[in-house]
Parts: sequence; C-alpha cells; structure tokens
Amino acid sequence: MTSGPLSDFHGEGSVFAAWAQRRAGVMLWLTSGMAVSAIVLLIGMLGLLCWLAFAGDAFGAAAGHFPGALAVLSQGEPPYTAEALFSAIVGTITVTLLMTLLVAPLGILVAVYLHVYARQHWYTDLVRIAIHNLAGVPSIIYGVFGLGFFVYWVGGGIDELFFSDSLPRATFGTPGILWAAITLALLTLPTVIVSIEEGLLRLPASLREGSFALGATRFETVVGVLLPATMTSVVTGVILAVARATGEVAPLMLVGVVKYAPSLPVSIEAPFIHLEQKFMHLGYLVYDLTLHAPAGNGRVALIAVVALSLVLVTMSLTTFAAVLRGRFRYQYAQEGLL
Amino acid sequence: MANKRLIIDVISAGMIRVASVMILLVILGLFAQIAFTALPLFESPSSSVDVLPATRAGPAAELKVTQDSGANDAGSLPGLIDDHRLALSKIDPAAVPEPKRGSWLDARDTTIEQVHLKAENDGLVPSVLTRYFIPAGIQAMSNISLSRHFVVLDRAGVIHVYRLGRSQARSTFTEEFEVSDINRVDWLDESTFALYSHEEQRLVRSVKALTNTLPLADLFSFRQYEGYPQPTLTWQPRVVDGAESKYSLVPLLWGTMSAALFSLMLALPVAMGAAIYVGYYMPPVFREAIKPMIEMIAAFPGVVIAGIAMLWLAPRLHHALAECIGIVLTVPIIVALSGLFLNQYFQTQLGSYFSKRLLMVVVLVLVIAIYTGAKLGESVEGLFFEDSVVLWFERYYGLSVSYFNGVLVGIALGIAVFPTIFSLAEEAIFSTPKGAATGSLALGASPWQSFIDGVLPVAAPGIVAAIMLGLSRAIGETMILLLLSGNTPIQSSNPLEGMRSVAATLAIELPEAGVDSTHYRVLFFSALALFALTFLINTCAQLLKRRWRRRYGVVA
Repeated sequence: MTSGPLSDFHGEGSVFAAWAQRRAGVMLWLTSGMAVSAIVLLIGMLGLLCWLAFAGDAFGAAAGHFPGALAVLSQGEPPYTAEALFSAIVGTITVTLLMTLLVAPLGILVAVYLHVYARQHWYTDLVRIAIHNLAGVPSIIYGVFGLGFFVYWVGGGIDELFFSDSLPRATFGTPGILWAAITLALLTLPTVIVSIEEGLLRLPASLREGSFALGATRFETVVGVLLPATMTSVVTGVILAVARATGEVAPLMLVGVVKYAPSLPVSIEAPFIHLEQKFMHLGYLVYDLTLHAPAGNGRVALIAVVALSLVLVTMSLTTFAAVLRGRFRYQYAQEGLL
Repeated sequence: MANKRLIIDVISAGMIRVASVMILLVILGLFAQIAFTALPLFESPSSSVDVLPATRAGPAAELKVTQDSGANDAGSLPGLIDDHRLALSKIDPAAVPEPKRGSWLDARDTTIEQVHLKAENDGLVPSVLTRYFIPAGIQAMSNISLSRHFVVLDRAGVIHVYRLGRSQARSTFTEEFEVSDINRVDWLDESTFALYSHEEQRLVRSVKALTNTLPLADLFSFRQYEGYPQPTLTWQPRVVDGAESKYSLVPLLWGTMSAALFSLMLALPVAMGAAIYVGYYMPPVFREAIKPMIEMIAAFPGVVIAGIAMLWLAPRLHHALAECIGIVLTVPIIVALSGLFLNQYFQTQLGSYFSKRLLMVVVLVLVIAIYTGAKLGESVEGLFFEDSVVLWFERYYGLSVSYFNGVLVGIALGIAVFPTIFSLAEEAIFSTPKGAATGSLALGASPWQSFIDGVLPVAAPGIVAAIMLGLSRAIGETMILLLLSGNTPIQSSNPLEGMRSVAATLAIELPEAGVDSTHYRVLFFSALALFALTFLINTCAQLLKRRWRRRYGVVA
C-alpha cells in the first residue's frame, strides 16, 4: 500500500485512510464498551440481588437483611410464613418433576420419530419449522391454552365422567398441579425436541448403519444404539427445559398456582401426590411478595433471597447443560467420528 | 425369535408414529383450540336462538323481577324510572322524573330511544344515542340483561332481540302464541329470557338467545358509549353501575407495541454493539468464555427482573431520570471520543484488533463516562429544570407522569430481550465465512470497513432474524408488564405514562372471566391475535435464517 494509481485516495497517510482508521477506532471502542456494559449489567444485577438480600440496613428502613427476612417469616402473617416458603419450594420441585416426567419421554418420542421414522418430506420440514416457532410463542399463550383446553375441557370432562357426585364443585375442572405440569411440559417440549434431534443429527451415520448391518431392527437400533449414544443430548434438553420452566410464572397463574395453599401437593400417605390440588411456586411468591406483602423490615431481603435462589438454580442448570453439550461434542471429535 | 423381534419392531414403529403425530397435533392444535374458543364471538346471533320448553325455566311465581324504580340488587341493573322510561345506569332517585345523570331507554309506541346525558359547555344535555324502530308497535319490553341486551315483543307477535347501542336487531323471530296475552318479557339469566302472561300468572315461553357475541368491528373501531362526550377506544370489560362493557383491543395492542418499542430502543444498540464486538473483534478463545457469560442474563426470569425493577429502580427513577438521560447521552460520546484520540496507542499487529490492555482501559473510560454523565445530568437538571426534570415538564408542559411508566418497563423489558438479540446476532456475525472480513482487510480496508462491507451484508438476514425474535419476546413477556406497567389501559405515546399489554390483561382477567362469556371470548381472541402476531414474526425470522444458511452453507 505504498504506491499505485489509487494511493492518493487509499494509501497510507491519505485523508480517506486516516478517516477510516479513526472511524474504525471509534467503532472498536464503542462496541467493546457495549460488551463490557453487558457484563457489568450481569454482575450488577447479581450484586444488587446479593446486596438486597444480605447487606444489612443498606436501604434504610424499607430494607432489611436475611436474618430480618427470617424474622418476618417466623412472626408469620398468614400467607407469608415459613410454612408458606416451604410449601412454595415443595410446589416448585413437584411441578418441575412432574413436568420432567412428562416432557422427557414425549421429547424423545417426537425427536426419534422425526429423525428415524418420518420420511424426509416437505411436511417434516414444516413440522420442524413449527416446533422451532413454538419455542418462541409467548408463555402466556400456553397458559391460555392450558386453561381453555386442559382445565375447562379435559378437566370438566373428567369431572362429569368420574366425579359427578361432587359436582358442581369441580375436582379436575379447576386449575391444579397436574394441568400446570402438562402446560409447562408443552411449553418446554420444543426445547427438548430440538436438543435431542440435534444430538441425533450429530451422531455419526456409521453408528446407525453398523447397527442395521448387524441385522438389528429399527427399534433395537434406537433403543440399543442411538439413544444410549445421545443420552447427553437428552439430559441437556431436559436440563434446559427445567431451567426454562423454573422461571415461568405467567402460564402458571392461569393453570393452578395460588397465593397460599394450606396443604402440600405431596404427602407421605397414599396416594402420595394430589394431582388436582392447587400449589405454591417460588416465582409466583416473588410476584406476590413484590406486589402484596406488607412493607417492613426484611421484606425486600426475603424477595431478594427467593429471587437469587431462582436465578442461581437457572444459572447452574444452564452452565451444566453447556458443559455437557461441550463434552458430548468433544467425545465424538476425539473418536474421529464427527 | 426373529419373528418376535420383527413384530416388536413393527408394533413399536406404529406406536411411535401414532404417539408422536398425536403430540404434534396437540401442539399444533394449540392454535386451533384458541381459535375455536375465540371465534364464536363473531357468530351471527340470529342463527342460534333456542326455544326451551316452558317448564325448563320454572314457574313464573319464582321469578323476581323488580319493576320499581331504583337499582335492582340481583342484576345490579337499574329498573324503571316511570311507565315509559327504563334506566340504564344508576340514576339518583331524588332526581326522577328529570334525571341529573345517567342514561335511559325511552319507549313510546313504535320507537325506543336510548338517551344519555352528554357533557356540553354548560352542564349535561340529554342526547339520543340510538333509535330502535318497531313499526308494529310495542307489546312488551324486557329489562336490560347483564350482557346489555333487551327484548321487544311487537304487536304482530315478532320478537326482536336488541343489543344496546345498535339499531339493527341482533335477532328477529316469530313464535306461535296469542300476542295479546303476553304483557311481560324478562331475562332469566344472561342469555335466556321468558315471555309471560301477567293476568294468568303463567310463563308462556322461554328462549335462549345467543348474547355473548360481538361484531369484530367493535374490537377495533371508535364507539360512542353512554356518558362519554365523543366516540372512544376503551378497554373496560368489568361492568360498573350497569354501564356497558367496553371491549376495544386497540389500547391493549398499543400498550404491547409501545412497551416492545421502548425496550428495543434500549436493548438494540447495546445488544448489537456487544454482538459485533464478541462475534467479530474477539478471538474465539475469549469468545468461548465471554459469550456464555453475557448469555447468563437470560437466567434472570422475567418476574425477578420485574421484582428488582419494582423494589429498587421504581422508587429512584423519578429522581434519577436526569442522571439516566445524562448517562445515556454522555457515555457513547465520551467512549467514541476516547476511541478517536486514544485508539492509536493500542494498535496491535495487523489482523488482530483485540487486546486485553484495551479492554481494561475501556472499563476505566466507561466508569469515568458514567460518573461524568450522571454528574452532568444532575447539574443540568439543577441549572435549567428547577431540580427535577419530571416536575418541570409536569409544571410547564402539562406532561402527565405516573409512578409505573414506559421508561421503567422499557429498561426491565430491555434487559429481558437483550440476551435473545445478542445471542442470535452474535451467532450470525461469528458464523459468517471468515474470508469475507480477511479478504477485505488484506486489501487495506480498516477493520470497521471490513465489517460493514464484508461481514454485515452476509450476516444481515441473521441479524434481522435476531431483532425479530427479540421483538416477539418483548411482545409476549407478561410478568414485567404485569408488575411495572401500572396496567392502565390508556393510549399515549408519552413514555412517562403507564400502559396495559395484551399478555398482562390475559394474566389478570382470564381467571376471573366466566367460561364462554363475551369477556372470556374477547380475551381468547386477544390471545389469538398475540399468538398469530408472534408466530408470524417467528416464521419470518426462521425463513430468513434458513435462506441465509442455505446460501452461505454455515451452521448457526
């Protein structure tokens, strides 16, 4: 770039080149500033939550600290007691477990169908696009669907068939933990399907072909070879689903979460789990505490602690999923199969 | 043995097929189910009149319909003012027969007039909202149902079901009975009315008329409501004092879109800048560590972001608004200026423009810039705006300001949509074939020129897809709007006022709406609209991405 017919315009030292270099510097600094502020935002939000939760009387009378929060709980105004917090934790775990039990087999079923059984047509493509899209449908829509279809239609039908004695008091025709779990399962199903199918796609074709060559049927290939080989992607998908489900509150508000549930959805006596019961949820607790709890020492800290635990659970799950996925890719790269 | 294995295979294949097709149908049936619940809202009501046997409605003696003046406790609807006027909203009993407020139906032989007191320059003036013509003359007329319908039986024996405010009868039909016998028509519930003869104390017919329907235009067009000076777009589904339910979706859609817009205005520049830096400037080794870290912002659920914003940001926002504006305006300028003058000291060898030293200086500059911006905002506020920008605008420009407002929503929602946009845009930029940038660099273009002319055209569809997915995320977010928007269904472009979004409305009102009532169906229709909107945006984004992938053969 020292001499040539265009050196007057673009050569080193020309007005244009200097201007271009200057602009490049400005944009480099601006974009790096944005990236840094994104990290600052993340650390700032985490720090703020920790501060609100543990930093003594940092915010004057309105705030408090974690021991203060525990004090609020032990004083116990009805919906905001230690039992309620416990009930919310149990409710969250129960509904998430139920959802996992539903979403894992369904996700495997659909992914295996799409990858192994379905002929690759324009309509399987269409189904794939639809599944990708469903992952982006607002969660409240799933709540509306859950309420209209599961609660009022399916639940109402079950009541008329099996619980007609207790009508008009609804048993299953009212929001409950079963419907919440099914709604969450539907909400997270696209995530799981996409993850498992991606895992199946990443498997080397030789695995499948070798299995067929040895005379295994498709079912045996799927159960004996493909699924064990892609187990990591199944686990990753389920973990991502759980991470997404823990943070969702809006659909639950329509299909079964309540401000205060006096009894737990699980018990140590048969039938152990009460699928028709309403339940409490940590995410909803954050909402409810923020909106309705009486202002006082420790309220902010309590909210911050619950929110922080939710965030930390989601973060560790996401990280775990990322690590698993990385290891999975690495494994096949090592074996020279990918 | 082989046989058994084959049988298992065939059976399992069939089961997997059937089961997964069923699951897919359930997922895809989501749309259908919401649509089938919502769309009967627009059904023509005349097609579904259901004449019940007289016994179903019970004996006439059980029916208590107050015909005296004053409010009717059961239905919360007011009764008669006098023998030809029927009150539609609460009317001061002392002011009868010349009501001072409210609205009423005035029935005279062949015409019924719906009159309301309209605010004019000097007080309230009675004004006719709607005229209903019954050429054959009125034989009997019902009270107003909760869904704002009334029934008129004319002297020729024809039954007209009217919806208040519409001169066209919703349904008109004839029944076989002696017309002169009947002198009372009354509503039994929201959708069933009974005709009966007073002299014989006998119920003649009860009819179920479909009243939970609404014309589509009602949801989107200006309507004149009782007591309102001019036609309005209003969302007020719950009946107060017997007033009409107002189902205009326009304020809700406006709130949804303006919240999404505010959030994108904040999130887009930061997300794009970060995506360009991480995807283009950063070497892959550092990218592996930094990208997941920035994406961790997605681990904050909407309700947590909203909670922090409500507890910590909202009480400070009014005082800190000037500082915030100062920061937003000053920081880019200071960072850009320092880039302009300091960048030459951080030149690295050709092709690598990443240096840890630079990043540290940028952090330092950022801190200084934020501090300067805040101080600048504060002092400008003190010098020119009488110590409070908000109050100053309120005082001199009549700007209305609410505690929960668009700025608050924009910040919180911006944080929520940031990871979506960042992650996808970064992916698009990073997976652009490297030759696009290196070729340009080799020819002597600056890194930024290489990005704009080499990388950006290739990555553009992916970036547009990222922005679209961010928009759809912002439209559908519920908890942030529920907690921070104030949920006031007003239509204003002032970012210091509240709003109400479709999603938040669904979360608040759907659990309380009666199954298959008008309100329930309108809510399902708004869910359908939300669904269709996001689905459309997502599909466009998907198609863009697929085309882009196919053209450049990259995996993103």
